[in-house]
Amino acid sequence: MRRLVVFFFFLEFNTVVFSQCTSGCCAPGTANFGVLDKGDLLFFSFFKRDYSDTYFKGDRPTNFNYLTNDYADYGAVTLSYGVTPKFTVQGSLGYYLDKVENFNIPVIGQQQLAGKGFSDAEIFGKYNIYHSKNDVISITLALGAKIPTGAYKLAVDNVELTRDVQPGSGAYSGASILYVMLKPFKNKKQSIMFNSRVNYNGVNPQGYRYGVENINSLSTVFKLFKDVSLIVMVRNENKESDIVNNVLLSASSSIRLFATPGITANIGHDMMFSLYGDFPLYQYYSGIQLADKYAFTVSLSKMFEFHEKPIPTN
Amino acid sequence: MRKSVYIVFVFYLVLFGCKKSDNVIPTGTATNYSDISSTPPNPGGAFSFTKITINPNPMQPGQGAKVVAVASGNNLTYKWSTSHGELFGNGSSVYYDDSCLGTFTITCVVSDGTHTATITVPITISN
Repeated sequence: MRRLVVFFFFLEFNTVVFSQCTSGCCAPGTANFGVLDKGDLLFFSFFKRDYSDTYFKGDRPTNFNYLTNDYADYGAVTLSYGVTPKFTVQGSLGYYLDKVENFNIPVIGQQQLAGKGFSDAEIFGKYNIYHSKNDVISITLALGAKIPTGAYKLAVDNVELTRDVQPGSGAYSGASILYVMLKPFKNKKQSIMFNSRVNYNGVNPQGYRYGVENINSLSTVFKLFKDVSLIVMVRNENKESDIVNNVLLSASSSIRLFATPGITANIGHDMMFSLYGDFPLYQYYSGIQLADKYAFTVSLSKMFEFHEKPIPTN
Repeated sequence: MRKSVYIVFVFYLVLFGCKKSDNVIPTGTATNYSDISSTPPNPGGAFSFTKITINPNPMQPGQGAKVVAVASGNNLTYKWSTSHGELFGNGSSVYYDDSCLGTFTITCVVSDGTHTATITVPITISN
């Protein structure tokens, strides 16, 4: 189970954004949830497709002639390195293959706005602040920053694209993540993971600030076969309203609850492949907003073990 | 151990440092720009850009408004942006629409390749 745990703390990242788990054998693990062993390097990559085509008013679908649908295809790479047994640094960079909105507006007709390009980069430092001697609980805190590496004012034919299809935010931002792993049962084989992430978004040069985002997830893994496991996760995302030039955008806050089932498989000793989906269980939007319909993610991770391995005892 | 704690502390500072950079940079939020005329920086410039018209304004969400930059001159280019919402088309005349309520701005920069002139106008989306 220790080896599965490494995967879990990446689920938070590909949900945002912005915005946005494993089991089995391979990725060798870490004694402390959320951090790597000293000297280990973890390569994690994923591709995500999300799609929306239904407007919600409050918690119910509503008819509104504006966007017919939107979708995005996004890939990202994350590198993590264990600086000490309790401290890990991590960097991520992603690329939008496309970020598309299709409109059907009575006066204007059918239109498409599409952007692509690198997203904002993220750096994190993670510190394991507590690990109980009996291995029942492990707590790690991560603090990080988002660097505005992505384009945020892409234009087509000298007309700036809407913010929703820009690959970057244009703003420096901060984030904090709390990782908690519990092994409540006596055999210590079943872990329950809780992650809570808060994004404190900054203001970009155009005066736009995304609202504070809070993402909480509860997850566990059940072994199906020797190298295949089932991911079971529920995730809650809360977003406050965006602000543009000191004006609050009332139709930009939301509360959402997702089921995120998935499958993960070990490939050899140190690689892991995963496939999982996002399906909304409950959504509440202020005003009228396009609601999430579904998303799926495939990921591949590989661990490069450089830590000193214990000498086997006879 | 002490080094690790120090690094965590630095990240903490980065986090709150970002929170302090909340200074909003306005893109033009004065109450009414619709009658403002703009002239090129060089009075001897070969074009004029007098105003932006929006019809209708105010508008309802999803209603769509035609936005026209009124300018005269040769070989003019038009660069459009908005503080919120969508712009469709290109050239001197575009369409604007938004699904959010509020008052936002539309900016057009006209250039003849040598000089530029900029006008920002407010647009209100209400029910």
